[in-house]
Amino acid sequence: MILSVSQGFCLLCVVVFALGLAVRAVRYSRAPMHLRWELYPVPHEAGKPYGGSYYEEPDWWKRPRKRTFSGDLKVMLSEIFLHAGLWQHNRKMWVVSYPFHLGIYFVAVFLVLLVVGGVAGDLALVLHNLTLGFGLAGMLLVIVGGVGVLARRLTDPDLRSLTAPADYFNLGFILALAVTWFVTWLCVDPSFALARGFVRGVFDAAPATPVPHAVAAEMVLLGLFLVYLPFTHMSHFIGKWFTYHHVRWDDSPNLGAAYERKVAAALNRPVGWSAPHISKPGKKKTWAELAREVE
Amino acid sequence: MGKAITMRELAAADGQVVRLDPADFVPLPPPYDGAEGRPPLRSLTESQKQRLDDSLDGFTALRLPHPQNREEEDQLVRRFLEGVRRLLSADDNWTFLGPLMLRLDYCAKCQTCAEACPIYLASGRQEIYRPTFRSELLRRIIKKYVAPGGRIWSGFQGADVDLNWRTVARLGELAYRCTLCRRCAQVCPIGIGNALIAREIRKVFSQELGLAPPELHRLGTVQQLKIGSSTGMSPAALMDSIELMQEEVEEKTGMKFAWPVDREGADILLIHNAGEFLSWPENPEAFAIILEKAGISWTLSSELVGYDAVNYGVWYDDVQLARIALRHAEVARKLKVKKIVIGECGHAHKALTVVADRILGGELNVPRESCLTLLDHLVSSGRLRLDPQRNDFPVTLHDPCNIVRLMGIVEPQRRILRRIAPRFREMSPSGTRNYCCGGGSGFAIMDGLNFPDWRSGVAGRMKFKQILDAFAGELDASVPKYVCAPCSNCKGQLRGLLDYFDATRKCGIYYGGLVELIVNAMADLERPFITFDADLIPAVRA
Ligand code: SF4
Ligand code: SF4
Repeated sequence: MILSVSQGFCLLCVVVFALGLAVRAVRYSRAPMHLRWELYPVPHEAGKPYGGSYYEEPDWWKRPRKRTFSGDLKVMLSEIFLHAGLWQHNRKMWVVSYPFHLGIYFVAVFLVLLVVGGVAGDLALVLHNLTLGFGLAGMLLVIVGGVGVLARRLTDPDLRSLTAPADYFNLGFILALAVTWFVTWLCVDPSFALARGFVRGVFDAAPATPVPHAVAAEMVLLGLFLVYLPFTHMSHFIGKWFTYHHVRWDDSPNLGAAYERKVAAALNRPVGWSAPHISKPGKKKTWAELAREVE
Repeated sequence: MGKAITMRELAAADGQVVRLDPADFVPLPPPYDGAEGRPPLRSLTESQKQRLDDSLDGFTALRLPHPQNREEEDQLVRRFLEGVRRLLSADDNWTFLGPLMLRLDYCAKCQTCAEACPIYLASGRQEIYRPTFRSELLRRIIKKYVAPGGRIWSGFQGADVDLNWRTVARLGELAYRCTLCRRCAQVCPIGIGNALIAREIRKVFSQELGLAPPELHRLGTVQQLKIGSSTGMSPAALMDSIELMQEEVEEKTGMKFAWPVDREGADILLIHNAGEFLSWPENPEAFAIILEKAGISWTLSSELVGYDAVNYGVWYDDVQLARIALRHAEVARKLKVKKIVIGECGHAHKALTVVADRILGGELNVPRESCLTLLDHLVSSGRLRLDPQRNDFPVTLHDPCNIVRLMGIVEPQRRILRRIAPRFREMSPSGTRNYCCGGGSGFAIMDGLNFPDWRSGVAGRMKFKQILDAFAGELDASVPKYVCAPCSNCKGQLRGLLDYFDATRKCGIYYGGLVELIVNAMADLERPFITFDADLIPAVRA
């Protein structure tokens, strides 16, 4: 396998992207057990669509918990695929944000298809058409939605007041990426065959074949974006899993030995806060020691 | 529309940053659509202004004294930053580090939360009360002053804020312009919201700088741990109060029985917010009547802390939260009760049942239950003879955020009201989408200086609007109406709110708990338990 500079760079970017996201996910999942901070409705509470919880049952700790995974799943799917919360609570934003995100999903599918096509070699017509369809629809949606989001950020004083240069940069980056890919498709690579060839070259034993500069440029730009993404709040698709499942819907009560152990370990941590009602001269105390004091 | 203000301006402004004008506030329905709906807001006196920093909006919850010299200013900033670093430490902040990290990393700045915030809406959309304003300020401070290489990237990241003592003082105050109701979190597409950040800022001030509103700390948690109750009530005073309440029950109902106190091995340890004993004794009285009539084995405690369910730590300080929760559990363990039942107090529900759940281990993990669940069970099981016609007056229900949105106890109180109050109607919105009463997170008990004006004029305004809407068409003062608020803090806030707008005299709006309505419906009582008399309502402001 002999890669061109641009192919090698892109491969490296994909690796950094995957590692960056993994580091984030590990960081959140390894955060210490926290105190409960759930928020109702919690959709896995069976039979309580109005937002009720097991605390509505007398002697709740003696009863088996009635949880329904389908409740969580329904909310997750409607959030992921329809952005249902935004539709319900911020329609003006949904109108631009939804097409933008839908476009990103389509582009993600397109990239996967591009890789599949690259690895598989000769394409069935259906795969070819799917790649083309997802790619073009995705790029157009990203461009239309992205311009819409940008316009709203620039014109709506409520949004403008807290938008940082980095937010404009991120949007601009995504738009530049989508426009570059779209123009390249229009002018240079109407069936994405060159892009697919570029990807295939990564997996092929054959020496790298040169691709037009435009195709190399769109690939390098994509690579740069993938490297950048995990270090920004654009990785919220990872964060959202944790905000929902580890905080908002985490209503597991402290019952059983596993929790007992975690509670004991947490209370054994030393406390460094220095307000007078906490810190006294001498050795740092643990949470357990401090909690037993009367201040 | 509130004044547009940037964070840079917030840090730089000399003098007061925002001047609230009641003319900007969200309008109220008749009869409050004129000047009556916009009572003037009192300012601090000149001498108070000279001592205390009110430069955010003319109010002060923290009562931070002005630094006297440059060294004090620098020290405030240094210690604040030290506290922020501790927030990011797994040892110092294991309690909330995970949720905090997610909130710091992921805000899409979509402003969906702003439309859900009662304070932002009621104030006429004041920029400084925008839910993300304080969160973003903390985020930017961390990005610029705490994160590695922060100063290099700060401009790009929008972290253009200058950290000086004013920024610190104003951020501290801003943390006390949020009731921690978490209505904003419900609509957040990322699932984060802003209350946790407000509470984390409060923690920096309390746990690192030793600064907290005196009602929460010195007169609150500290007093509760030392004397037994944040009301200042000692165990001996409690016993006197119980004796008085027993007599009152006998007088009102003819029922003569000794209230069980420190009865070892009882099924239930009932813990009230001790504010009930002093301000609304009819509430513990009603509980005693219900439990006695239902034949329940129960007891009160007279041990320090054991007779006051409040835990103000849940609003501002994790160490104090843990200390009080441990005392509550210890009292229950010693009495060998089967469970703790928490009286009508929202934050006590959440603190002891939910938030402290992962602090209590071993035999201190005594089961905890809401009184609403127990009452629902007693009412539906038919153990009490109830005649709904005795409650033949308009009733609406306030949903305490802590019990409803934050604990998912939604239906029990409704099932009871549907049974005992024929003219019950919901507020809109209700249930988990309710508006906070405006007294959440400690505001209801923060009576110092001019803060009550902000609390009633701004924080409680959406709730007052909801109440007026719920009773629309029946606002004639001759028709007594009842706002059922099964939470002591919400009742404290409603007391102030109704007084602020003179709504009892003007519109015949009264408030009270749920147990009072249950007892009022008891078929075998000769006299009504609830009496409506505007002249008996104490004038709080006076
Ligand atoms: S709704 Fe959530 S993501 Fe949007 S601005 Fe508010 S906190 Fe940030
Ligand atoms: S928690 Fe409540 S008061 Fe605080 S910002 Fe959110 S909606 Fe507003």
